[in-house]
Formats: sequence, C-alpha cells, structure tokens
Amino acid sequence: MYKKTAIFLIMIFYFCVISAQVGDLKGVVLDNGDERVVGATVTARKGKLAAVTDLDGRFLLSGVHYGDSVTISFLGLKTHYLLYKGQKFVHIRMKEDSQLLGQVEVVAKANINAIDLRAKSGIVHDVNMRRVLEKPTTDIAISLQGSVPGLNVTNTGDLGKLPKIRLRGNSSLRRGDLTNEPLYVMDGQIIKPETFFNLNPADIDGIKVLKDAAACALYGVKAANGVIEISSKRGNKGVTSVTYSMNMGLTTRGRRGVKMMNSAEKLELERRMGDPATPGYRYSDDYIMKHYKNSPELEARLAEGRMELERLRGINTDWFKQLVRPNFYNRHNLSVRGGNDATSYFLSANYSSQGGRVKGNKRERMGVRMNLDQKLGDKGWLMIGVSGGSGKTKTPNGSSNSPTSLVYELNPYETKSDKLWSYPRYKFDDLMHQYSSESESKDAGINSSLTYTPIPGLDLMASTGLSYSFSESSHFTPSTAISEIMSGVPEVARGIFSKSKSSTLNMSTNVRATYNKVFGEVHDLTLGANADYFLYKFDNVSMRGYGVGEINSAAAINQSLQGSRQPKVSGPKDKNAQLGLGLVAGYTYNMLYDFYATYKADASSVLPSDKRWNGAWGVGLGWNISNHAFLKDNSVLTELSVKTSFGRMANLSGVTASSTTGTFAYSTESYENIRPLYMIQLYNKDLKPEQTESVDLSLSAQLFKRFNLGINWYRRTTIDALLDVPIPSSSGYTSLRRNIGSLKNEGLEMRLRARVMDAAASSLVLGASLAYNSNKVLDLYDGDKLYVSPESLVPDYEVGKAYDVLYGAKSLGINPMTGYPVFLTPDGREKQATEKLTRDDVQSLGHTVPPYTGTLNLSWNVGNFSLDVDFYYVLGGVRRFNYSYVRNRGTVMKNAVSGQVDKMWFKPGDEDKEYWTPFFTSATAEDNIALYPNSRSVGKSDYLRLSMVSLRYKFSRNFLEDHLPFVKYANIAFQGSNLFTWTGYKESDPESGTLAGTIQPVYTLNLNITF
Amino acid sequence: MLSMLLLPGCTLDIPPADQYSDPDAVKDEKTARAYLTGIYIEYPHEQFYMSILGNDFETTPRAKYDVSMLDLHNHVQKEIKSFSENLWQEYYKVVADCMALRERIDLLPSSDELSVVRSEASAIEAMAYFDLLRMYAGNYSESLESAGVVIKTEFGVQTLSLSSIKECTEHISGLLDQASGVREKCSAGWLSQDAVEMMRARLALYKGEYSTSLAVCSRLLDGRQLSPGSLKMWTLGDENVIFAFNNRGAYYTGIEYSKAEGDYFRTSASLRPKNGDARHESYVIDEKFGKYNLANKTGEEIRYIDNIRIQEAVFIAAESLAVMHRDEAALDMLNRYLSVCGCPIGEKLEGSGLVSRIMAEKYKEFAGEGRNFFDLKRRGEYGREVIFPIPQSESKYNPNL
Repeated sequence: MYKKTAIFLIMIFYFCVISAQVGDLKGVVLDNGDERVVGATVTARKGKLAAVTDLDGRFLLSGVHYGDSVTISFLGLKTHYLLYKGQKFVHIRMKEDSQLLGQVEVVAKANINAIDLRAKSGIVHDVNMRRVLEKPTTDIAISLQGSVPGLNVTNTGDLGKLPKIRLRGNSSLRRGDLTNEPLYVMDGQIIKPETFFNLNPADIDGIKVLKDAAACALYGVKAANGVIEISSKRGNKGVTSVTYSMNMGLTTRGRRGVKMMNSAEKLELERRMGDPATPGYRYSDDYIMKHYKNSPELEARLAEGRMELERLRGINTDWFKQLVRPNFYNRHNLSVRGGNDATSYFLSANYSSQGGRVKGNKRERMGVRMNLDQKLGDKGWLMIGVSGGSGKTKTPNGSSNSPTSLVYELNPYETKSDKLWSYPRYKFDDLMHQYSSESESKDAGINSSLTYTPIPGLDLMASTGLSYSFSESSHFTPSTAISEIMSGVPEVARGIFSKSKSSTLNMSTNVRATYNKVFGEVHDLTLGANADYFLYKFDNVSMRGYGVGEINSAAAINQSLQGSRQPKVSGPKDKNAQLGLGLVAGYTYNMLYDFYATYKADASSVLPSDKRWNGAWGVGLGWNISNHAFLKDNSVLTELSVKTSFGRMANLSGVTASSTTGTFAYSTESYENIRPLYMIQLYNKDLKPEQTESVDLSLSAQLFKRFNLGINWYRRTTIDALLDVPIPSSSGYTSLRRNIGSLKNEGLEMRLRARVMDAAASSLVLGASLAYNSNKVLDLYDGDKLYVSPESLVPDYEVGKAYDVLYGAKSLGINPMTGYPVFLTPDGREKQATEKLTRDDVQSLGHTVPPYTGTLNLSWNVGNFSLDVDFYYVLGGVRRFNYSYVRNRGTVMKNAVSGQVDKMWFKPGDEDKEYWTPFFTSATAEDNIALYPNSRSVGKSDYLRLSMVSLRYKFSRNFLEDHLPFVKYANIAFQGSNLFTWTGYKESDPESGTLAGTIQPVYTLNLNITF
Repeated sequence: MLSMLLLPGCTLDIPPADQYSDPDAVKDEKTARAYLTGIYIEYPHEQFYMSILGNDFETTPRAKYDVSMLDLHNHVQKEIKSFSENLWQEYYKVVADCMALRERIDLLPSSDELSVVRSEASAIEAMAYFDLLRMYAGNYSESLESAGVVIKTEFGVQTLSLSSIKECTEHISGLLDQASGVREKCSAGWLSQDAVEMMRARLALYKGEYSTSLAVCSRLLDGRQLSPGSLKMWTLGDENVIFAFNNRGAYYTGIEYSKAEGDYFRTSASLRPKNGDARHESYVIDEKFGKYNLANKTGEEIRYIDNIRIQEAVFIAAESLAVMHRDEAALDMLNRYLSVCGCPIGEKLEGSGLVSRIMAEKYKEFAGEGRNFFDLKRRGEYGREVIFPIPQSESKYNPNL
C-alpha cells in the first residue's frame, strides 16, 4: 500500500514536474527545396502561443510546455506537427501539399489553373522570393535576373526601360517582345507586362515559372513562350502582424565602359589628324610653320601656340564624374496580415524611388493591395483582391544627345565654362536640356473567386477579374536642341511635343471543377475541367505637334504648320477575345508513378470563324524512385525522381484580323472631299497559328539530405513558324506574313544546392545554376536561305544554322600599306577591304544571344547575422563594337578612346595596328567596315556580375524584449544590387550594348520591423 | 458563380475596332468609292524627279549640294537604279488595289455608280501600267517581243515572268476598253471619258499608230476653246485640265535648297517662254520664279497635280500629222494653240524640222510636268541607260525573272 502510494505520489510529482516544465522552442522552417519558409505560422496550446517565421525562416515560440503539440502551417505546404520534448532547436522540413483539397491551403490558391498536380510531371520552377526581396531595385523584372535557370532577363537601357524577358529563347522566327515574351498571370488574371514590372515585390507570395508544355497547356494559345504565375500574399489565421520595411541608399555611377583620352593624348591625336578646327593642330608647330613660314611673326606665333597647348594639357576634366552622378534610392513598405478561421486579410502599401545616373532621371513606384479571404459556411470560400499602383519614369535627359553620351564626346581639355571645341559655337550649358520624356503607368486590378466543395474531393471554383492599366508618356524636344537647330526647319516650326495615352483592359473569367479520389489507398485520381474567357481592350490617343519652342506642353503646338511638321493625331483601338475549354486528368500510383494529361481548346476572335479553334495538349509522366521500398530509408540517396513531358501548343501572337482577311480602315486624308478607305496589309487566307512542340526530361536528386541537384533537358520545336516574308514587289507589297518554316530550341538547365553546414547557430548553403540554349532553323519551306532585305549580304535565316548568328568577314588585321583591313575568305584567299565583300566572303562570328547564363550564390547564417551573395554570369555571346569612340578625320573634334594614337594606322608602314585609317580614302572599304562586322570588330560579351549582396543582422529576442517589447521581429541589413560587373568586353556595356544603359549599382540600408 | 453567369455572354464575334473586314468593308457604292479614292491618293507623283531626268531643267550653283539629284540629272546608272527601286512597288500597289476593288465590286449587286467606280479603277490601272511600261521597258518601236513589265492576273502574290511590250500594250488597251463606263463629266480629280480618251491617244502615239492618235485627239479638240496654260492648274484647276490628282498642300518642295539661297534647278533656257508669250505672263514672275516653284515661294497651296490637259491633244495631233507628212495641217494644228498664246509660227516648216519644232514647243509647254522624259525616250533621244532596271525587290524574290 505504501509502496503503491509512494509510486503514485512519485508519479504525480513526476508529472507535475514534467508538465510544469516550460521552455522556448527555437527552430527553422524549410521547404522541400531547402528554402527557408518566411511567414509560416507556428502555434501551440490551441493558438494561445503563436509565432511567425521571420525572413530567415526562423521562429521562437516561448512558453511551450512539455508534451505540447506544435503546429507549423503555411499556405500551400502540408501542415507539420511536432511534439515538444524540450528540444532547443528544430529543423522543420515542410512538404508540398498536393493532396489536401478542401482545406485553407488549397482554397487560398487564387491561381485557378494552379493545380499542383501539374508540377508532378511538368516543369514548374519557383522563384526564391527571399532573394528577390534582398535585391534593392525598383524593377521587379531586373531583380528576377538569374532567379530561375532558363528565364533570361536582359537589361536594355536606361532606368525604367522594359527589359527583355525570354523563357528558353525565342520560340518564333519573328524577333521582338510581342511574339516571344512569356505570359504573365497574377492570381489567375492575365496581366500586361507593364503591370508586372510595376508590382511591389513585397506583396508577392510566390512566382512560379512554367516552362514546358505539360505545365503551360492549360493556358493554351497564349502560353507558347512559357508562363510566369504570380500569387499575391494573403492573410493568415491567428496572429496579426504589422511589418514595416524601409530601404534607404545610394545608386552609384557604375561601370565607366570605355576609358577616354587625357588632354595630352587627345591633343597629339588632333595634331596627327591635321584638322584646323581642333586646338591640337591649330596651335601645333606643324600648322604655324605651314601658315607663317616666312612671316616675321613666326617665332611669336610658335611660342604662343606652345603656351596654349601647355595650358590645355594642364586641364584634365573627367567628364564621367562631371556628368554621371550618384543618386538616391528609397523604398518603404507597410503591410498588415492577420485573421481568424473564417476571415483573413492582407493589406499593404508601398513606395519606392530610384534616381538615375544622369541628373533628373528618376523612377518612382507606389501601390496598395488588399486581399480578403472569407469562409462561406462549411463548404465555401470567397477570395477578393484589390490592387492599385502607379509607376513613373522621368527622363529629362534622355537617350538622344544624352549627357551620358557627352561623357564620351567632350574633350578633357574643355571645361563647363569655356567655349567648346567639340561642339563649335556652343558652351556646355547649351548642350543640356536637349530632350525630356516622362512616362507613367497606373494599374488597378480586382479579382474575386468563389470556391465550393459540395462533397469531399469535388472542388468547384469560379473566378473573375479585371486588370486595368492606364499609361501615358510624353516627349519633348525644345527648339533650342541641337537636333532642332540643325534640322533646317524654320524657327516657327521648331520644337517637338508628343503625348500618348492608352488604356488596356484585361478581363478574365474562369470556371473550374476538380474531382479527386483515392481508391484502395494507392490509386490517387484527379479529374478536372475548366472554361475560361478572356477579353482584351486597348484604346489609345496620341498626338504629335511641332513649333512648340521651349514650352513643354501640347498647348504650344503650332497648328498652322503644313507638310511634314503638320500636327498629327491618332487613336488606334483594339478589342479581342478568347474562349478556352480545358480538360485535365492526373493519376498517382502509390506515390511512385505520376501521370498527367491536359487538353485545351482555344478560340480567338481575331481568326476567321471557320478556323477559330486551336488545340493545345500536354502529357507528363513522373517516377518518384526514392519512394520505392528499397530506397525508402537510404541515407545516401535521399531523394530521386524523374519526369518527362511532351506537348503541343499554338502561338497566335502577332496574328490579327488584317493578316488573315482583307481589312480596311479610313485614312486621315481626303480626296475631292471624300474620305478614302485603304487596305491595311496584304492578307494571307491560309495563315495558321505557329505550333510549338516541346519535349522535356528532368531529374532531381538529393544526397545525404544535403545536396540537391536538378537537371532539365528540353527541345522545343516550332512548326509553321510565322514570318513576314519578302515577296515580289509586283504584288504591290514587299512582304507577306506566312507560315514559313520550323525552328528548334534545345537546352539544358541545371541547379545545384549544397547545405554545406547546418547547425543551430550557423548554416551555409551554396548554390549554382547553369542554363544553356541553342537554336537552329530546321526548315524553310521556300528554300535554304531567306534574305529579308534584297540588299542583304548574309541570309537572315538559313536552314541548319542558328538564327542569332552574327556574320562577318574574318580579319587578318590592318594592311600596313592601305590602312584598311585584309580579310581572309572561307576558301583561304586574302581579300583587301578595298574590294567589295560578297556573300561568299562572310562567315559566322558567333552568337549575338549568349547561350550560357547562370548564377552562383551563397547563404551564410552565423548567430544573428546572415549573409547572402548572388553572382550572375553570361557566357558565349559576341557583340559588335560600334567604334563610335574611335575618331577619324571628320570626327576628331570629339574626345576619343584612350590608346587610339598608338593603335591607329596613320601612314604607310604603320604595322600591327588595330584601327584603320582615319583618312577616308576608299568608299568601298568604309562601306565594308561600316555595314558588316569582322572578326576584329566584335568582342566576347561574357560578363560576371555581383548582382546581390545582403548582410543582415537580426535583433535578438532578449534585446527586443528589454528595449522594444512591442516589436516581434526586427532586423537591419546592408543590401546592394548589381554592384560590379567584370567583363573582357572592351567597349560599352556587354549586356545592353550602350554606354547610357549600364545597369545601375544600388547600395542601401534596410530596416525591417514586425509588430 | 458570377462567372458562370458571365460565360454564356462571352462572344468571339468581335469586329476589329476602327477597321472593317471583308465582307463588311467594301459593301456598297459609298465604300467602293472610298476605296477607289484611296487608290487615287496612293498614285505616285514623281513629276519633279521625272523632270530632273528629262530636259526640263538646268542646274543652278546649288545643284552640287545634292549629289544624288545631280547624278539623276546626269543619268548616272547607280542613281537611276536607286530612284526606280521603290517606284515599281508604288505603281504595283495601285494595280493591286484596282484588282482588289474590282474583285469586291463583282460580289455586290450591280448598280450604275458601282460600274462607274469599276471603270475608273480600270482606267487608273491602265494609267499605272502605261507609266510602268514607259519607265521599265524599252521602246515599242524596238521589238514588240522584248520584255515589258509584269502583267498581274490576280490580286496577291504571284511569280510571273515579264510580258512582252506587245502583250503589255494589249493589256492596257483592254483595261481602257473596260474603262468606258466612266462618267462623261466630273470634277478634275476623277477620271472622265475625256481622260480615258487622252490615255488612248497617248497609247496610240506610243505604239506609233498615228492615225488613231490623230482621230482621238481631233475628237477631243472638236469644238473646244483653247487658252494658254496658267498657274491655276496647280491651285484651282483651270478649264484646260481634263484630269489632275487632288493634292494636299506640299508639292515640288524638293527643288528648293533653301528659301534664302534658292533652288537646285531652274527651267532650261530653251524651254522658258519668251516675252510676249501669254504663258510668260502666267508662269514667269520677276524672271526668277517659274510655274512649278512659285506656289512654294508664295506659300500658296498646290491642290492639283496636273496629269491630263487639253493642250496635249494639240501636240499629239500635230506630231501625228507631221509624221504622216501632213505638214500643213500639222502646223495649223500647232498654231491653233500657239496663236492663243500669242506666238504663232509664221515660217513654213516641213519634214523633220517640223517634227522637231513641234516637239520643242511641246517640251516648252510641259516643262517641269514630268512628261518630257517619256517623249524624249520614245523619240530615241536617249540610250538604254534610261530604261529603269527591274528592282531587286522583284528580281530577288521572283524566280521567273
């Protein structure tokens, strides 16, 4: 009895002690891909204890009792349960949730087509939003550079200019954005690229990049170039959190590009060229001896000249520093997130601004977003999202006669106050204010979706939304601009003002039904159907007027002008619609084999009604090898799966009513008081959409739960590719849009991640990626070669060759006798540049689109510090030098590239020179050099860029509790984007090809506080 | 649920905004006329450059500032090639649109106005082919079988070989026959019966069918009062004008180097009307400005570009008579107009001297109007270098050439 009582008492005591044991649980939450999950909710004791993971995926839950069940939940991931047994630090790896239909996680997916089953066999890549957020730049598109292999983002110019975005290369023979850009979908709504560029990265929960046919097929005819799916942040239940984030920093000058001459070298160059309009020759002994040889003033003149040259040599203005300047960068973001079981919300407001490299240039963006999720009874959910934003770019000093080009034109011996030799008759101040431009884009969007689950497994969903974008831009060239003064028009007609306003409305409606059932515990079947309707409306008003003088306003347009300077008004409109019907089926056997098939039929209003419908389909197979029993608990190979997919899609972009049927419009003129109709273009009744077929193979593996490897191989073939093909001009037209041939894009994408070190206090993750793309023209229906212009020396498209090849002659260097290059023809003959080049003399000099791109990255956490570094590299391309900074006899008044005096051929006998003669002696040679590149006038455009550095310090819990008890999390970071670019390319910017467009480095300090 | 309600309302029958697709575009008399109007507007007007090529101009000291115009004046091969490169397509655009218009009219229920429009389309097409033939082919007299231009058989892309000069002229005749339904009288901007007649006379003259050209011109001149050519033909259209393209403002501006310094070219000395000639009063002001540049100097709008005026009938008739050795009648015919101008020919001329004089008077009458070049070429005053080469935009993409 005693014994029993004693044992009982001990037990009670024991349990009391244990149950009284309260501790702090610290941990880090990772997802499948070893990425830290930000914003996951960690709760215990029925929600009385709660925490949210911070930017590093870490959390601290205080006051947890032994034996408590801790729940970690996050939208789209399987909820994780954990029993608290006094662990100090836990690693939680959350799995992708593809099964749990009917729960909040799936309901909250507003991307109606985002059926996770797609990812089982299709190629869907997630953008690591944490890294994107670490990059301070106002352009979300630029910050996606390097985020996913195969997604190529190329900066094209100055701040605010839309970058070029391609997924796995160009799938069309037609160049340009319209036909090759991916489709952007936000929360199920199709949005304009400009709307995407204006998004606030902090509002984005995730970005998925859909690459292959199996993943894209549900988007049908619009998705041939891949899809970028964006989902916005939504509320979470339980804890209300308010987060404020601020970035303040500086932008710097960036890469100098080309080193220019100092005063001494420039004056020497001028002397050698012998142009009396330059001081280097005007004050030289040569000039004075020639003109005052027998004059009594000779000695005095010589002395005076030498003194003047000495004075000029003493001035060395660095125009790069004078004209290109550091600027400011600002970003503020405030968001509120919270809710309960029935209602949850997310609200945010943001502002950011980035100053340009040139005085006055600036880009600003602001926006608000509100997402609300409401449970309707037991079986339904309503989700509403409203957003609005504006982006504004000011370019008071734009691309024509821009100060950035003056950097390379003004002479080092010139100053801001003196008369200029480089621009005779002008002073520095006259060269400013040559141009100004402003553009603004305002976006508003609303979308709502309803989900209803009448019986378990059956999910019905309907969503509809509008995305409205209003953009305006104005350009102004004052009458005082040099281009206007030199234009030869009378003063009353000088000064140009143009303005354009357009509105775009995208309306998407989508209805979907999905049914999922698991049979006999091993058969998991999903069937779905959807119907969508998409309406696009575009309305533009533009005007262009002249004679505004120095007034930047439409009110100053001189409306009495006739001829080419007559005021012009135009207002193009467009409206089209698409209807789509889709079917999808997925089957998984015992978590081992996945099968996925989808079919989409699309009809477009731009095609004649008898050939309106186009089909797209995709099938995929997946094999999760590591789920087999024999590999189940293998500690070496912890994960292994392979996927393959095949599918076919149509691409309609660039096909309009006027290209398939005779379409007319009224012209802006009149004749004998009758308004004329004209046919817009030559139409092709047989026009078909391009068909894109793609095959994908991918493998992903994980070793020791530490090393992740992903490899994709793809081949995308475009059949019946569309192109405006030249036709005999006796047809009255010079080109006709036709289905002309087929082409192929083939490539390999690799991702490697290694969790080198992972301990409670520190972790180190290294990553690398590589994407390779090659393209080739497979067939041209009318022959082997296609010359778009009758004068072309080289074919624009050739069967068996890539379509981004730069053709030119192989140069053997400058002939010491003529001063012009000597070429080596493919058949081994030497050919002087003074003879006309023919089609047989040119060969491939390389690819203009670099085939290799990739990243290297590092994440290092030590204690409260974390360091993230990203490098981006581009390899294998060539770019032509434009040599605009190498001066000849006609342009020597402008500054020249450093070293030109030594490297230029001046007289017969000059050997081993790089630049040809500055004295125009052969028109044929000058044509050959100007029109075609040669092996010595192109350079490799390879570069390596330090695209992001972030060093973050997280304030400790104790510190916050002691000093700022109302703050849940706080951290401070130094962040930098695009800080350095290393390249062997010796002229301008290897990426954009212009000096004005060098990507701008940004250094900022970031503060993040969650209340 | 909302979208379920919306979906049935979705339609794909959306006409392009601001645009009209077949069959809703050319659907009645009004729209057919509107399309025809577009064809009138797009007709190329190269009077200035054709005058540079012809004997109309002599250079001024400013001519050296524009080397390509100077080279064209000197018949430099390279310049003729680059000048003629785009012109080919511009004329064939007219041909294509005429064919497309007729194709569409033939689908509509017939009406009087529609047959007028159809006839006018044939007339403009004939005019375009005749210009093409005179530019891109050798002379009719050389060889009937030598290559002419491409004769299209349908709208759209075709790779056809060149038809012979004979086939081309037959085709033009055929088109003029189809054009017989044009209006008898209408304002100067539309092709009328008289305009089609004059085109027949031009074609007959080109083919050397002098009795036909004489007969047609005599009919045209029958009962007509003649008056000297005047500047009004540019601005308002005078009573002599049978057909002129309606124009919007600027015309002949290319001749001016700068307002202050003057023009690149001026009328050749031999072609300037002398004092006492009524045309001198009308054309020459201050001995400096001529008929083609005055409007630009004074800022007056040029509303018409003369293409067919009755004076031409006099010269065609006179030339036909002279070639047929009816010298006296030829001189009478010429004097019928020259006496109106106040400068009749008193002396007796015959044979080749008479023909030369008739031509000289014709060149003087039409100086700067871009027609002399064709007459000079037809009369064999130039070598083969003035035959425009078939442009690369045709030859490179047409395997049958």
